[in-house]
Amino acid sequence: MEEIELAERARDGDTAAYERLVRMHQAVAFRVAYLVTGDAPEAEDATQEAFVKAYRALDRFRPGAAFRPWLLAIVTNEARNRRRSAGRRANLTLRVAAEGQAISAAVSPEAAVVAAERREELLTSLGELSEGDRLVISYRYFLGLSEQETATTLGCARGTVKSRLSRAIARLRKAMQKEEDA
Amino acid sequence: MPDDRRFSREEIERGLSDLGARLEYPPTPDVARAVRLRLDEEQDRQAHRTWRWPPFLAPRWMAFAAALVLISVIALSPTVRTTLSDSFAPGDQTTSEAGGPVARPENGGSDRSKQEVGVASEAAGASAAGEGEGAVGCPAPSIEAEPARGVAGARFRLSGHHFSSGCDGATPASGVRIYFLQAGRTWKLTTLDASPGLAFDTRPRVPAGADPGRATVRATTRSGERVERRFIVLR
Repeated sequence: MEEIELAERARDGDTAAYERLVRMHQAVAFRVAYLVTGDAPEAEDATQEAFVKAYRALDRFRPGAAFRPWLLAIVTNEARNRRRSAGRRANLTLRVAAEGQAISAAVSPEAAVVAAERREELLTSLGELSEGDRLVISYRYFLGLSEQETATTLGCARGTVKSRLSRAIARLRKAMQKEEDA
Repeated sequence: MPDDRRFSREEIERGLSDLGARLEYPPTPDVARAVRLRLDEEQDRQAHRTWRWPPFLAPRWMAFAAALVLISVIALSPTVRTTLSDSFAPGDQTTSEAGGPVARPENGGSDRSKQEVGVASEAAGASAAGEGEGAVGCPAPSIEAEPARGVAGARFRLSGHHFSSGCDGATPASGVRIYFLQAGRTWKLTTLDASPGLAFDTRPRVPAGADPGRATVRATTRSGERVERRFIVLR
């Protein structure tokens, strides 16, 4: 069943249809919440609460619009509110997964080590950026949201996402150069 | 260092996309079922609410109204009023050797008056006791689980109200222990203090070892008072 149909049925009070909709989007919703809160249990609570709030707000969801960014905006708000009320700073708690079998045979061990170091540097520099910069980069590059989806999720215009992203990358570049100089 | 090694924008964008594919997130919890249960509970409650008594006819208000009527009857009864005014007016009464007030012989004699005063005092006493410890002055603590169903390991919201220390209705209870009971097994979920509003709100998990079926969530105060709520562990 298509997402639009599920959303329509959910709007009419069909909780089974909504459960299916939740299952379709819970992974990305949890990741968004985790990127904001930096804490897995808090992210789980925020995700669950956001889905409940989204159900109650389905009347305000424009039929035919994309459900995912509309939902992710609710998740982002819920996660931000929870983090603020818990009095925590937004810290980047992401880690790079262990390489394992992912290394291609075509890549030399030296090149793999250098690439891994570069990734760690990038992650460290990203952690030095503001929450706004981090989120726009994370949504766009880590979660693979389109510019339009990122804009809806962050509650701003598409042009704003473009300019924010450009400034965030410039700051990230500076942070990386500083890191390397040090 | 040559400038081309100083991270071009394209290089950073490539690096971010590559990083995004290799990031490690905690495993995604399955919240779909819990969300549906919460929504179903909510809808059940809303449907149930339509059949409830109007708020002004709720048992608590009915008890309050009954107490008010009783006090009014006592206060407006001419016999009681006369007796009370006699009791408080100095010089209008004499005291017997035994220490009891001797009513003036009105309305058919002193024995009847004494009887009525006795009944009224008992009623007033009962009413006062009812207000002090019953539904009005010191409401019984209560807990609410939402949803009241869940799989082992799932979180649920547990809220409590009227958790005061003693019966002053002002001091929040501290050290309230929350247990999960099932088939002779007991799990301690948490210990918490009530807020200044005498309430608490927590989100414990259904114990991982709980079996599908009926269970009980219990809140025990330091004074040993217990409040329980039925919980269904789902398969």
